[in-house]
Amino acid sequence: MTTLNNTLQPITERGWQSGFKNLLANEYTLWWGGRRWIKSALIWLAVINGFIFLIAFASTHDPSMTPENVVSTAIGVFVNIGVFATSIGIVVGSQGAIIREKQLGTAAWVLSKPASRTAFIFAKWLAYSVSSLIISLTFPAIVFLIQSQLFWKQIPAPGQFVESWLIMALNLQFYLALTLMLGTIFSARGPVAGIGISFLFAGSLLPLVLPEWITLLFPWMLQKLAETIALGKPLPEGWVIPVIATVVWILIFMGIALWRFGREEF
Amino acid sequence: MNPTEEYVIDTQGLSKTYKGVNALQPLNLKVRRHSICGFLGPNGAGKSTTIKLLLGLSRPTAGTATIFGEDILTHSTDIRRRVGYLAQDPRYYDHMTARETLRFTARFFYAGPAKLIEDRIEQTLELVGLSDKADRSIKGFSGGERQRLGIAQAQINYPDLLILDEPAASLDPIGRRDVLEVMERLRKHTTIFYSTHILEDVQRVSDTVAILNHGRLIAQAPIEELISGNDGILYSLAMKGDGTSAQKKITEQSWVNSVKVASTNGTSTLQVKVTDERIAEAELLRLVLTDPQTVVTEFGRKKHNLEEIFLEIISGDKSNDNAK
Repeated sequence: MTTLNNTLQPITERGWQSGFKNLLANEYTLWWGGRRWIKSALIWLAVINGFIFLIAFASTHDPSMTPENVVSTAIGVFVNIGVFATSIGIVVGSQGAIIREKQLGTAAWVLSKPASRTAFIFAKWLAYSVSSLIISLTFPAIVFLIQSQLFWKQIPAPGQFVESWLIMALNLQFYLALTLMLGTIFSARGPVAGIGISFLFAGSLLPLVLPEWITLLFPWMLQKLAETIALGKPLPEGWVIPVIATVVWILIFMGIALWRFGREEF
Repeated sequence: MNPTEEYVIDTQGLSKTYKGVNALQPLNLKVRRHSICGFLGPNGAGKSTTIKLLLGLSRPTAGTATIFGEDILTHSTDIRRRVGYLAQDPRYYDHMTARETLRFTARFFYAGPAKLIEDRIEQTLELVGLSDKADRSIKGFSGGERQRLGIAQAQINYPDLLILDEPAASLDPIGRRDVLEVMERLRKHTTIFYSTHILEDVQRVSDTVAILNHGRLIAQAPIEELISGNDGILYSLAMKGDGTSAQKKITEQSWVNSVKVASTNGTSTLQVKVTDERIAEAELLRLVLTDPQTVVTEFGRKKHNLEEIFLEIISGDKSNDNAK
């Protein structure tokens, strides 16, 4: 033990894990180390839960609405706003994750140390994934349950609500993986954010013109699916296809990101 | 010692082409263990490209290279565990302080104990003279302070090889002197491979020099050999008055190839090219002084200034290019 305490112990991580813990710790410090997370959390609460306040306020002026109706409306609004806003949020928030480091030269600096390129990408992905899920989806979901109990003395069925949350989380992961992949391909933020947001908006138009089977292969149906699950309605036929397809897309995007970043020249 | 152990850096035909442009033509470079190798060349010669290839920040178009006998492509991470690197324009995370930057760097190499890591950080900050600014955000650091931090982070892991890309470029004369002193202090423990434009610094601290021009290695030699020139064994002798009779006397010697005389302000300077250094060393001065009227003011083996050599080599290379 004396030896252990008196000499610097070399890192034992090898292969793709080289530098991973250090890079991840750095990313988490960026997310949670200062007051940034508080600001982000307040913005997400204002965006998502603010609408629930508006519904609660409106329902007090409409005697025709029963508490059940209002809760259903609130759940629908929570899910739809949640999916849409977090998709935009993650694209905007992570558009510079890779590009900023490429442009500033910090990526080259970090990669001149014993850190693998895979660790660099995974650390970004994990930190952005966990942190954005907590800040933009978990906090608002908890506050939504509190609002629901306070305003209407009832909360959504927990199982359905959690399943719906998982679908929302999957959607968020899709846009995160897409943005990280684009960040490894492009060297400016414009195309990264542009493609990500365009893809999101395409989800409102393309399903109207494309055959249904094609639409099912993209995550556009996840918003509707999350709402259906949260409201306890019967699931549409083939509902599992967009879920599996989205998982596959995420894996493809991350694979491309790793491949492309592995070939990046600094 | 086998060749792998003798050379820390060993490249064989290492080359890089960017969009059809040869940034680095097949490079065969060897850097001996515990040497300080100055890597010289004009802007765009391919110095930074070479360094990036060695560190795995860029992929070679062709050729191979080893560092510590390990392949730069297949063992890049292992190599980087034993290397310290300072980039030409070092960039760090602006939200960090100098201490945090060093802690972040150290954590790539050491898992603990935390106390020893902190001690090492303190020691490194002291070495580069940043102890009083250790807890300041690096956002407000001057170019010189960033460079010092760069040197600190490059050697936090006690590297066996230190690669420095223009370490003194953005420093004032005092900063430059400090950097050279740090390099001289570190030479006992490590091999230093550094690129620079400042020839005076190279002459001061390096023991070997490699010169790159247009992506091609045009000279590599110990600095002593280089500054002795490639014009044979040449002695320089300065004397008061006319040097013609001395020239005549020297020219008659069998071990003398040629003698050139130049006179300015009552002083004659003789450039004597000889075939045998030992005889010249023993006889030349004595021969001139046989004339009691002769007053010799300077005598010695002619050494060139590195700047002269560098310019000569670069311009020679340019002429060759033009001839092609």
